[in-house]
Amino acid sequence: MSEAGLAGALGLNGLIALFVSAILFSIGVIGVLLRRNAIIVFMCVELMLNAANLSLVAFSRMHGIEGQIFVFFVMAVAAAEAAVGLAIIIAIFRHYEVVDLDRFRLLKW
Amino acid sequence: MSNWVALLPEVILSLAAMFILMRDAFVRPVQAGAGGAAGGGRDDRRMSVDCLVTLYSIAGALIASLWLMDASAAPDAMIALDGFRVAADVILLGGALLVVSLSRDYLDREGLRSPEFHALILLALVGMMVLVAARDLILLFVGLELMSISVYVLTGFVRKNPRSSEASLKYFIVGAFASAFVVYGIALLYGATGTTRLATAAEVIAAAPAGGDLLLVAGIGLLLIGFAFKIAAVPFHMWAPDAYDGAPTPVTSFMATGVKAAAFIALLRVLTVDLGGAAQVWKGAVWWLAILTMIVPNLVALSQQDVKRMLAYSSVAHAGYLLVGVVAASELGRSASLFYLAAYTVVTAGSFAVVFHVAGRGDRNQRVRDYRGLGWRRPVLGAALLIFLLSLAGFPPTAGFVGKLYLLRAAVDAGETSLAVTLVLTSLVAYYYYLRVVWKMYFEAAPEDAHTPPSPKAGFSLVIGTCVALILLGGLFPGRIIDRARDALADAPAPGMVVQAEDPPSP
Repeated sequence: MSEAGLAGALGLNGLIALFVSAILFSIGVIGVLLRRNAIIVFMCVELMLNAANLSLVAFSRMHGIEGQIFVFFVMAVAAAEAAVGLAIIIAIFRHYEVVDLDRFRLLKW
Repeated sequence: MSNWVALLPEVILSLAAMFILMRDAFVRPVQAGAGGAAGGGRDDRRMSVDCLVTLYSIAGALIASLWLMDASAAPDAMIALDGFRVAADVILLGGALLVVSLSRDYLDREGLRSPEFHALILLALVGMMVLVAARDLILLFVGLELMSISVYVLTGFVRKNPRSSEASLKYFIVGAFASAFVVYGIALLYGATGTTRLATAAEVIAAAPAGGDLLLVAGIGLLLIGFAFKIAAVPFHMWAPDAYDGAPTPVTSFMATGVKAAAFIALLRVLTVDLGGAAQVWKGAVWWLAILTMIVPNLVALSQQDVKRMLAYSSVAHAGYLLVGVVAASELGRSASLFYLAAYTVVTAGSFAVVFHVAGRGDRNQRVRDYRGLGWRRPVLGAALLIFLLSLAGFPPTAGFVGKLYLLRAAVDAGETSLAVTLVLTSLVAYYYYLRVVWKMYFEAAPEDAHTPPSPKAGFSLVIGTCVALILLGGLFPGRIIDRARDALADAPAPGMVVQAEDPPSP
């Protein structure tokens, strides 16, 4: 589908949603790459997932319900990931008393 | 056939995982201190039951998969029901069977008696099987995450060990980052094609004019980045050596075999079959991934002094060889990749098991110099490791050699000569670090105070022996296996394939 066709099918609101989602995703990626606090990095990952959710909902305006169903799956998985991720962060906090990624240097190449 | 039967292997494994968890809830372990030796004995007994339930359920799932071989599903079903899935399941379940049966000794030695270990292995296995069978992007994502989240926990399973926790955190951060790329990639693919069904998406892509759609290109790119993280392709590999090094060794072996194989098989199918119509979009990128993944880890592995870490880098390098099969993108490329993956799974499970056996309690002896004279002190163990290392390096008459040969031929047939040359050259470089261990084992004397690993238990030896036998059989009689693999992959092979089938290379 051409870009003009996409704009027509999505409408202005849909296009705005796509742009916002792309910006959110980029913020998430940059956050993961630059921030060193494990919890903030993890929040940036969640931001990326929610950016994807926003695009899915925007696309489902033109493609039907599948995208919105997928959003529920992504949410459920993100919740499971959060539970495991926070548990792992607590486990490592017990060893180091910090959650700064730069301080974890037992393993290196 | 009613639809749920297609999920029979996954159902068996899920029920077994739930049984193990529920059993733990109702059969209380004796608290440390209160029970003393009696408590230890009861823990041991529970462990044996967990281990047996795991092994039997994996075997049951294997039988169920083979039984599904003759079934077929509608082309637009959510779950594939074809030879490719059965071949993938056999690789994954067989690898898990080897890993679980070998890990018993390690768990006993390190006092890891929690039932969650086996439950998580089973759940990760379900995730892998869903991932390789998924014909719908939603299911693909759910399988990927079920696998990944279980393995994050397994990596950090030894909570008392900071190395294990650190490996788990690194793996988790990178894995979650990669999953986000996969989701965004899927969202864009959905936007570009209007469906999450892979079969329908393939039709849409095939019908569209080539290479013009920005959404499609971005979606494939993001999906590829996500999967490149998961299979640890350079430059997205930096987590792999750390995670492999810090994780308990059986989990390392599970990650290097199952997780990598599942992500790779899913990538192989999605790229070469479903997105085959958009090959010009991803081919260049995968070509570079393959080249870099063959060169970089092989060079880094040269300087490693720790055998486990060396095997971790070698496992990254093997992902590069496998990517050659993806670039070739032919029927031969697919069957060569699957054969290579099967051989690699057996070898990796076996070699990591020998490494943790030699390393001893607390993994103290896993440096290359700890292997001095091992070939004379423990001849059987040494001989097994020798075969594994030769197969990893790609010497005849092992399955590793045949696998490389098939990959080479697939690359040459597809006109990717430079990839073939790189594969050969980097394999030559890899000889150095594999053969260095062999040299230490046979041609250097052990110091007086050297730690001699205990002679392995009967069960352990039996499984290691099975691994060796499989590798040698795959190396000596590859034709039959390859033929079966190809029959499984293609119902109607192209004429060119039949000619090649009658001419297997004799090692």
